[in-house]
Amino acid sequence: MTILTRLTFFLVSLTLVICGCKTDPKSTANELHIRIKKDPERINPLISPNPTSREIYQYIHLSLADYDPNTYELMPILIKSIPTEIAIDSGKYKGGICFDIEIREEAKWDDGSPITAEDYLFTVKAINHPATNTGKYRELTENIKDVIIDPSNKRKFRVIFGQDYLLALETAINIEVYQKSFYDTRKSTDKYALADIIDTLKTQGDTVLAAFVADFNGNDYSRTKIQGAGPYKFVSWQTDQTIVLEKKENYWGANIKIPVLQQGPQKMIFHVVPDEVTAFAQLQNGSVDMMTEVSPDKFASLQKDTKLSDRFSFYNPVLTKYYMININNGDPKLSDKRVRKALNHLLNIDDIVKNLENGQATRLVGPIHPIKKTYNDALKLITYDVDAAKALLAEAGWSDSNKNGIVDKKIDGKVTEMVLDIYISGQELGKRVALMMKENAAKVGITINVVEKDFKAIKAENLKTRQYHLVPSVVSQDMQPWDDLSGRWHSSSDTPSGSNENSYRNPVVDQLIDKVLISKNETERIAIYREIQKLIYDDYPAIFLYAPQERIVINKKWNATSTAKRPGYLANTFTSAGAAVGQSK
Amino acid sequence: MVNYAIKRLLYVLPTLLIVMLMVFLLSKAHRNDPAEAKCRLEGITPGHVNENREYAKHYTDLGLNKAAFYVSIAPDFYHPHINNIVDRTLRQQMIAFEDQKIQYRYIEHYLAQRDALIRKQLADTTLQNNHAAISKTQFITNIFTLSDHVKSLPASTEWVEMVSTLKKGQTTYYLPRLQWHGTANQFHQWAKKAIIFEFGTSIEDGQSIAMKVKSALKWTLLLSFISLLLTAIISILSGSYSGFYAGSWWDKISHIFWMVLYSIPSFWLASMLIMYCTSDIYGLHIFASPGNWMIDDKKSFLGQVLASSSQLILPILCLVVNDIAFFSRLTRNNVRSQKAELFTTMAMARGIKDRDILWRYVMPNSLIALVTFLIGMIPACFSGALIIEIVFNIPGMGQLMFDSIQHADWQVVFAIVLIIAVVTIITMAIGDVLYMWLNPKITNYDETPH
Amino acid sequence: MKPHISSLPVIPYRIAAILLSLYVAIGLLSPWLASKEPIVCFGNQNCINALIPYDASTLHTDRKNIPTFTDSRHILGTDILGRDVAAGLISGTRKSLWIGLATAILSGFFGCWLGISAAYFGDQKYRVNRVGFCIAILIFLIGMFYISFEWLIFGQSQLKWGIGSLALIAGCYWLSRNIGRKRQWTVNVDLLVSKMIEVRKSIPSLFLLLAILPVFTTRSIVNVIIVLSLFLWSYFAQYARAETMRIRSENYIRRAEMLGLGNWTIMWKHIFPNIIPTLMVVFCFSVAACILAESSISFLGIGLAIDDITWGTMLSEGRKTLVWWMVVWPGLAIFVLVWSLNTIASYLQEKYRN
Repeated sequence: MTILTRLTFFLVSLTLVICGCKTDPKSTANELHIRIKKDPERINPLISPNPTSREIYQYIHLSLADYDPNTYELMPILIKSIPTEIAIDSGKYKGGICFDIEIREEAKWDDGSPITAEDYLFTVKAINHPATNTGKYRELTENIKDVIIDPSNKRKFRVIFGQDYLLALETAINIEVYQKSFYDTRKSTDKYALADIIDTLKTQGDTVLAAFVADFNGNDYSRTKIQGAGPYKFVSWQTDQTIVLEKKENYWGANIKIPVLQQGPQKMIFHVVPDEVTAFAQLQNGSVDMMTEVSPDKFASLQKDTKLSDRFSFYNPVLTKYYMININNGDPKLSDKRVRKALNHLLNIDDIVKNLENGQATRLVGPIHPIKKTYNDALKLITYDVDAAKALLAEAGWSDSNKNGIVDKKIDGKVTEMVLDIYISGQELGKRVALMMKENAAKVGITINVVEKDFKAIKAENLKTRQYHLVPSVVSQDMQPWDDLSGRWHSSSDTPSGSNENSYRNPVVDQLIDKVLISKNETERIAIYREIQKLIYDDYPAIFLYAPQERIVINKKWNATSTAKRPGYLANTFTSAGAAVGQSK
Repeated sequence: MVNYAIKRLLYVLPTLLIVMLMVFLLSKAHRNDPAEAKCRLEGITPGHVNENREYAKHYTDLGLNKAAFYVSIAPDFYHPHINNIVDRTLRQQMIAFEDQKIQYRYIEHYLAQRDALIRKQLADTTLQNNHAAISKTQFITNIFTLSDHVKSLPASTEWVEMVSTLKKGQTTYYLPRLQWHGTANQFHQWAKKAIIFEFGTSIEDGQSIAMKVKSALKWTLLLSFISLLLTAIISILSGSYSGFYAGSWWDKISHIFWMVLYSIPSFWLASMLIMYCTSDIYGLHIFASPGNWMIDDKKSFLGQVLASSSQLILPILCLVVNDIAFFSRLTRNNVRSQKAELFTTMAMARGIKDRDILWRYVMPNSLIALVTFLIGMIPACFSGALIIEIVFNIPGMGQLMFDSIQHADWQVVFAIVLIIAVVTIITMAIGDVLYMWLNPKITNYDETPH
Repeated sequence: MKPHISSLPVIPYRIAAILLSLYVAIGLLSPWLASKEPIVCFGNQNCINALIPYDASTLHTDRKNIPTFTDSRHILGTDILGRDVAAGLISGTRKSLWIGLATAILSGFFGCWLGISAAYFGDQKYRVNRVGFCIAILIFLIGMFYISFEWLIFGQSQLKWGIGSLALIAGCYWLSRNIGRKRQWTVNVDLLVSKMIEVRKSIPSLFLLLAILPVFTTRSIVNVIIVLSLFLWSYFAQYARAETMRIRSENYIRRAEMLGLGNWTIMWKHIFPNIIPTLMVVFCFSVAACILAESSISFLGIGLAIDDITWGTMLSEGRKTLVWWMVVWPGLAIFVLVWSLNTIASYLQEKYRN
């Protein structure tokens, strides 16, 4: 060994140590560093309304009104007050309904121009044009037949719907408004009435409009030119790395006492960190201030660690989603209610909540989230009971006649063994629940095969074609008090393109679901919802697991609160704890 | 020599074409549907009222309604233009029935009849009790289950007749049908642009693919070239000494050491380092925590690299661990065999110092093989190391490919594979030519002695 | 030159050999080492249980997340669902060895065959009969069409398809050798194989893995073996080609050729045995590489079925749940096995070099 080698080794190790020991960049005082799971891909509420994107655009774009996370009622944001429904009993739109809406005087765009009814009309037109990628909203806004602007007041307008339906008010005011002069520089939508823009025949051959559509769908308006009426402005975006938002100067809404209009940290920096372990390490050393969707294990380990837990606040807001295991009611093996009930008895859900969620979840009895006023709390939760499951199976005619350890029954003259497939995707929780189900089912002579597949493949090949037995899934709901149950539980949705994936059919439930849509009386509606839950509960069409709580960890540097609205926090309401202390002194 | 070089480089083209073809065919065998992925991005989940309409829009926009390739070979009873069926459910059911050897005209007929009858029967309120069974028919694609099932339905004679007509369409014998689809096929549309390196935009985020690949490549190349350089320096130094003094204690110790390093699974090492050495939990906060790339647009690339240098240490460490071990073994063996050559013995006999023999006589000769080997490692630099990138949150090529495959963003995948293929094939060709040039006595397949 | 004595220490190789045999023993005996079912029963009650009386997938709902060395029933601890870590390690041993060996043998077989043929036939030596060749190609295409549709798509039997296509290839080969011997074409086998290797090498292995694994409808070890073989064969082919090139011109091969022995006889009886030493080195390295690749795939959560517990799945779960005993033990198991294989490989390399 010569001096040269020794020297090289020494130098290399020295550089390693020097560079390695460099302390982590600590976030500076008024910058909030937030970890997000994946790149939002597009920041454009109309084109890409996904949760990750929402986590960012909610500070940039504002809708006319939104749900108050505490009362679950609509709360005005850009408008003066929540409009009331007016029935139309004469003229062209007879039988329809309309809303009179007025936008706040102080509401302004970034260039100082006021937000007007024209902007709203433009937004609806842009959504309704068949070629824009706003399919999710178009389904609802196509019901808007016309928008009439008050000639005397540019901020006042009337939204007309062709017919009355349950979500008309939400459709009219729960839309993010886009600035017309910013998004439609060519003024290409001006010459068309709202009714005409839907019609492809009328807009055919209009190259200016086509160019507008291409731009609207295009990359610029989703990645670089991002501008809205919200309290923060978009600064920069490094794909898969960081997104930076900055507080607007002289913001029009600064003095209005509405949470979404508040201004907190000077800068919000979103870091894209897909891997949780990595993100967790960053949280601990302070280069990230907060993270959401923390896994239960990590959340618990952080809470337990006394050295670290002093530095963080922990939040568990309830989110409007729940987990369930779909059962294919149409399958000959599972068409008997008693068999489905037996399956319900086979999962120790209390134990799952305790062990896999650290108790941070609420069990539920049916398709309505427990925090909603329509939830039927009179129904009893199903308990873990292997003996009851055994008895139910025997009652339904399933017994181990050929002594192979698996229960069987003659169906249509053929001996059928109770072998079920449970399809799971990569989700950790689904895997664990499936394994538990398998273990418990073996005790009563049911064999469950766990099949792992890509989630999209399960949707397309199994759920849509109804070729499955069990599929764990998550159901996300809106905050609106009246859930639309027709998609999942109405028998008319039991088609290849419908979303009644359980093939659940109950004529009485169908009637009730139809009835709730036209019912105007609130107490009556609640009664119907409770009745529906009771009926669904008695049919055991699925295994309803629980409604999980979000797990958010925020560095104590920030005075923060959580909300029930996804993503569970509003970063613009945060204040720097250090700064607050400084002021009080 | 020049002839050989030209010939060798010309052989690149057919290889490239085959690679393109294979990658394209693989993407067609994959079950992810890009049109559906696009619907999902728009926020349209299954069951949406708009779903079918939006799906059809994206399906035609993406050109999926065209034939996949110039030619197709299928049994003659198959639908000749299956991709023209825009409705996804109908298309899938058509394929499911076809796979039971039923002629496509019979299936078309049955599907139309079935839907009409179901609509009629569901509208009939007197059949309320049978609605479940009736609508179940639209999910059944197995001909035997179907014929059992329809017996129980109302108006069963009509149903049974329909199904028996469908059954009549079953064939036992068939001929292959060769079809020419012309240039209006998906492969042609893609290949004609890919040849001039125009890849279009990504489905996932609408960015131009060139941009996406460029930003991923930047990090991957940075990491792998630093690792390659480190590997080369450290292993040539250590390997040459162990090779020159083969059998010495240094050789023996370093051999054991390298063997251990070579066998460490790098993802295990990475996980352990992150768990134990980047936070205070175990009191070993030695390294900067991984992957928080605060990149300042205003800084130059070099500035960005310097700013994040402390975070690059761990990934580079994990990347070089295995390579150094391997490469220093290679160097050692090479140097040792050079040392056994006559000219070294002669030099020794002349009393030249060991160090001079090593660096003036042995190394230059060994370097040829080593450099050729290093060139061979360049293509791997472009593809990135997926697990290291995931663990350290580096937005490199591996992650880009992983995500794109998961999201059925095939255009991005094609672009990446094509770039890597081009780099690989060209470096291989260059390596061959270089090797020929350095060692004229080596023959190639055009001049093999008979 | 005087016979070369290995210049490297022998002790590590001995240790490696012992460790490797230990792994193989654990792999072979795993059904008796960790199992829910008793090994033998005398009467109703008197049963001899396995050393660890649970399967790797047995859930212990009451004993979750036990750290190593704190519970006498679960010496190495349990995971979040209460599955025994030691049982998991044992079942992982079997799976890793099985995947490593099967992949290396499968790809080794095809790789060697291609590599040896490439070097042996070169660019001139292999001749086919024009007529026979054309007929064989035609029959092959039509045959493949029917076999694929009948057995793969309509019959859903991959096994039948595999056997059928092998039989078809053999039949077509026989035809091409025996029909119309008058006019012949020379096939440049070497160029063909080199191009195949080049094509394979220019498709990134990561892409192969990620794109092919989801094509299979179900997840199983066999799929992983097939996919890994798809990119491992080229290494065997390369080494086999180079080695054959080296010994091709030696006297005993020339003599065998002069004696008029058949090509296949020469290739399998005279060339193959002589390149085995080099191939053994490649083989050992390949097994190690396969084991690493398998654990990487499981680490990413693609490939194997969920109830197949392997070192990679344990490691990735441990990393996610931040429990050290789920990271350290499986990682150590992989490391020691890979180290033994590599050490043995490098020992063989050293031994056969001279």
